Amino acid sequence: MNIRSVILSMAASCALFPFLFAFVIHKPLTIGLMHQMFEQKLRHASQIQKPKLVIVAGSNGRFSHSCSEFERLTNVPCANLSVTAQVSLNFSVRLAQKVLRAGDVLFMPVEYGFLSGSVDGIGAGDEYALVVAYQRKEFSNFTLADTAEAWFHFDLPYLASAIGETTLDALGVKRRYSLDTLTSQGDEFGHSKQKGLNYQNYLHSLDWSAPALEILTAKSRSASELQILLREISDLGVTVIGGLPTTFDDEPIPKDVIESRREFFESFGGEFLVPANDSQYPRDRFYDTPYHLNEETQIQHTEDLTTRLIGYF
Amino acid sequence: MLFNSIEFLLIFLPICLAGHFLLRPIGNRSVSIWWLTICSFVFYAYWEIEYLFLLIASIVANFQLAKVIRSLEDEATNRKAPLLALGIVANLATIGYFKYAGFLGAVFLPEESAVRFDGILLPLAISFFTFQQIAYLVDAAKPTFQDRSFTEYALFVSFFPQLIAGPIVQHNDVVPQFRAPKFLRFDRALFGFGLSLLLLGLFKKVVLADTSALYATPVFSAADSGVQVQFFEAWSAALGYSFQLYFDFSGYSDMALGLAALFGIRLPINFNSPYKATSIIDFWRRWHITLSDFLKHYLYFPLGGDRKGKLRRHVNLLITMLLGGLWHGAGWNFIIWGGVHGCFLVVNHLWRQFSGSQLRRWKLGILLGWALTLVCVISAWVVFRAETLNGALEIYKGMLGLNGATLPSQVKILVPASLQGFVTFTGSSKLLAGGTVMGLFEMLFLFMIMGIAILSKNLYQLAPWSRTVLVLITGYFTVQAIGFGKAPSEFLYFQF
Repeated sequence: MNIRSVILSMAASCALFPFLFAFVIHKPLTIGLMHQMFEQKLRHASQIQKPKLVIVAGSNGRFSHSCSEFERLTNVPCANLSVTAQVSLNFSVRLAQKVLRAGDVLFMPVEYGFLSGSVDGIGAGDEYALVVAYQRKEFSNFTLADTAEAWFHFDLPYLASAIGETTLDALGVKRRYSLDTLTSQGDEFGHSKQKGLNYQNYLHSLDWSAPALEILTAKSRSASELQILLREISDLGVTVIGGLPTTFDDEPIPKDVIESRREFFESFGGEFLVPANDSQYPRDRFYDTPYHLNEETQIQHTEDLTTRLIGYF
Repeated sequence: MLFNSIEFLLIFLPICLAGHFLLRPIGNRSVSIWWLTICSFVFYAYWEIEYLFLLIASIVANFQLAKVIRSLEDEATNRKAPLLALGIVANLATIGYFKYAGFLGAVFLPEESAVRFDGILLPLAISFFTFQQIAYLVDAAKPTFQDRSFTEYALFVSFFPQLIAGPIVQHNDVVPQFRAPKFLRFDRALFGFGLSLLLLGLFKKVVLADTSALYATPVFSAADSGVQVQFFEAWSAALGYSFQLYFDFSGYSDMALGLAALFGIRLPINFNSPYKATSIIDFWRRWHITLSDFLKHYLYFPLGGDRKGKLRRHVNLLITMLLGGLWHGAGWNFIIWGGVHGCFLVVNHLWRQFSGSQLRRWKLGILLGWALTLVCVISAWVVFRAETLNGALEIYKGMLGLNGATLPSQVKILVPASLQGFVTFTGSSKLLAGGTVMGLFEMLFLFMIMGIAILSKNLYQLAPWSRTVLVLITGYFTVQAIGFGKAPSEFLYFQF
């Protein structure tokens, strides 16, 4: 057997598959949808000329917070740029940076999995798939290590699910949320308490405990990058406000967890906002996951926050 | 160090190969053998250096004992038997202490006993290198035995491609190769064969096996904690583990063959597409072939085999399989697993006895036999894998549908109307593919690899160009898994 042909095949494989994942093999119902959501939300935000509220978080940002309700109560424009916790917070914030201007308020009620110093890559890595497939110009913001991670992000289950998603998409199957379930401001809508009854058994069966304190340290590369990024945004004249994501109220969120998040945001000159209920609600106020309020509670939660956020405009 | 680790692939292996190729032109066979032996000792010591002394002591003691047994060749044979028995007992006692003392102590000693056997560290590969040496001692007592030098013996026992998880090599398999002229010559075709097998074996291990584990581990952990698992969760776990173990062992076996071939050595085949087996008898001729051969020649035949009547044959089969199960680990689950396979074999032999051979050649019969064998094997792996017997029972209850069957409501449209009555459609299924609907589609992966296990040829049977094409298809995913993958990796057969 030709040794050279084995080695060349290996090298060719490492060149061929990144190309295929960039241009041919896609996941339209997940990665594709993320891309469309980011594009739509950023387009809306870039069209707003006045000082605005911008919300950035994982999916709790769009399920549990309502820009349309904020606008109704305050007449201040709002853009909900929250998409998913499957991409790193740094990535989401870097995209938001493109549409932020002096006078804007950036509100970040980010999930507890973010801002954990023990997780070096704050985020699940789907931004790699997003960048390779749809947003290759974002590579200019990537280090060499991140670039290698991106091109070698795709495993065999990814390939299998890409085949599955492409088939479902061709058959016209829709996910329970899509661009059609977003308002023009980028909020989820239609996730009513009635529709959420379907998930109540699941939600009540979940084991949930309050997040433990994980010290945010400078050793976490992503946390350091995020602090630098948010400082840059602050220096632009944007008010950055940290918040708490919506979660179950089975146990109180430990005070030291809240304080460590406060310290993170205040370390670069940001602010921190804690609602009276620490953004915690009973399980039957949620829709389909421990982070997604149902629509009725989304409105109420937004009303509570609005009384505090309006003071920054 | 694991075969899929960076330190093995990029540091240890290149140094070993470089030393081997640089020393070959000297033409001194002993020097080349010693180099490989030292590399093998370094490989073993990387895990736990203290146990290297155990390995070396075992090699020296067994070699010396074999020499003494050989020296009695021309004398009365009744002096060889006690020495041979002493050697076998000493080897088994060594395994017995390190591998089984804790388990036996927990079973037989009262809780308040002052004598404790907890916390004994199991030396890596002890099951393998001990069995190899037992076989060597038995052969040494035979008049046909050919003498081996200490250098040859040391390498035969410790050769790193097969040291940790087999194959269980007979000295006659490898020592003649150390003596052959081509041991000191570079065989380009064999090296290419070895390289392709190593790369493809790595793919099986780090991609197929480690990914399959993601479907099995959470469910088994939950079941062991007393959580009820429903039908789809239980079957995804059973299938996930069945393929995890299959590709772990298959991948390892290919890597062992491939690594040895890089050094010009051909090891015996240890794995022959066992999930294609059309009967349990066939399965045990395909799975861990060298262990089956060892148990047959050194346990089943000495017990009498099938020479003492049908009933005794079945008893001998059961004993052999029970001990075969125990070989895999010190635990009731391994003993039960061995016993279950023993029962399967007995039933298979009875079926062959009462059914005609024509029936066994009937195509539908072969297909049914294959399906039944696969279901039996997959079901038996559940008790093999579970940490607790209650955990295994929970999985079995789930597999039988006794805990219901639930699926996310979004997939209701994909389930035929006639079957919807058997399923509860709910918001999400906690343990099924991460609880997400999209995760369910990643489970297409399990069906993909089922196809590979059942339909594809063994790698060592493929034409060279086919292996090259496979490297082209799989190479990226192998690099991805080793360099960038997030799935935890362990070699299951290293634990046995």
